[in-house]
Amino acid sequence: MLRSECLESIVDLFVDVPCFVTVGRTWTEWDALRPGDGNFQVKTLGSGSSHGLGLAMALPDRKIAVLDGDGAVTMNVNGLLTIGRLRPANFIHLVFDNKMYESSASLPTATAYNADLVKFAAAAGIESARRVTTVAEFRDAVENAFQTDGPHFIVADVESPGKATSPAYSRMDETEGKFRFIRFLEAVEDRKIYQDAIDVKQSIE
Amino acid sequence: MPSIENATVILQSLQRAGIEVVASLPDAFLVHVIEGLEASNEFLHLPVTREEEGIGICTGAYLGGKRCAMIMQNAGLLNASNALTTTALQIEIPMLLLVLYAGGRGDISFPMLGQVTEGVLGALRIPYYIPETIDQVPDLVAGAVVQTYNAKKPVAIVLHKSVL
Repeated sequence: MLRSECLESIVDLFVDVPCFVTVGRTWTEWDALRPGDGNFQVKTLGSGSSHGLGLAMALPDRKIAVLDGDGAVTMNVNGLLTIGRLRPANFIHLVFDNKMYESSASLPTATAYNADLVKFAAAAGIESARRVTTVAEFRDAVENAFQTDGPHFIVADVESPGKATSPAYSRMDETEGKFRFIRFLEAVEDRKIYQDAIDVKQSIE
Repeated sequence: MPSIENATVILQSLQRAGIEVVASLPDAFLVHVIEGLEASNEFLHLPVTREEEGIGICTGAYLGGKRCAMIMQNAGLLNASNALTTTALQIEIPMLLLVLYAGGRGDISFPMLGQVTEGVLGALRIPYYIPETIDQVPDLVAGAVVQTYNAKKPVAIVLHKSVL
């Protein structure tokens, strides 16, 4: 199955759901399917799960999603230990495992050899860790993740899209992306979130 | 050796500055601070396994409206340098960094680490302050938290072991 098919199958579940999305083609595919300010483009490879964990702890009553790849997860694999320790119930981690650094000449990752991310996550203390191999299974797993307490770790085995054309990359200044994401959260939370320096100064004095 | 009294001053400084989320990785000299964080209801304490995670966590929590700090040794500052650069500095995320100065003045551990620490902060263009005594900590923390929001970038307080 293709990652784009998986993503397409879950778009309708993502109403008002903040998403941290890893760099590269996962971003362009998701941004094309579900454009909007609720998608945060992660700039540090692997850090999406940490961003998501921080937001999940800050907003414990809202489901937070991370759209990740195997290259990103293996870069920040120790982050799974922290998720397994803190076990935020509202945290949903979707990993598209194509066994390669797709944005870097498709060179193989550790999952192309002997690494199993599902076993790793389970061993880290993430009890709801599973692998899916069909689009229907993927959709079911994500639906379940929205309906039940997590943290959920769902690895989808996907193939490379090969030479198929990627959706266009909508480039945005990073700071604009940050402000848009905060405004999105303010809209869905229906409260002020952004603190200016003057707010901070007045609160301390 | 680190004292509970000084750790209490540091925790009260964070509380006064409105810090709500603290990511941490232990150092022997930070033990009372970290135990205090864990015991307190005033902070959401998030212990990490590698410091780069903490920068990501502080970023996520900041986006959710929390004032954040990361407590670590200076070795952790080096571990966190990529996330500081490509996330916190690039995207302009405020956060307070409390950095234990191993290998600093009068310390006999990690001499190379001690020598590069201020240079790394300088290269990252992260403003930093080094209190001489614990009495200076509350105002420096309060000022650094205002500055991190004003400058929209991380600001560091570097703590000699003598201050703990």
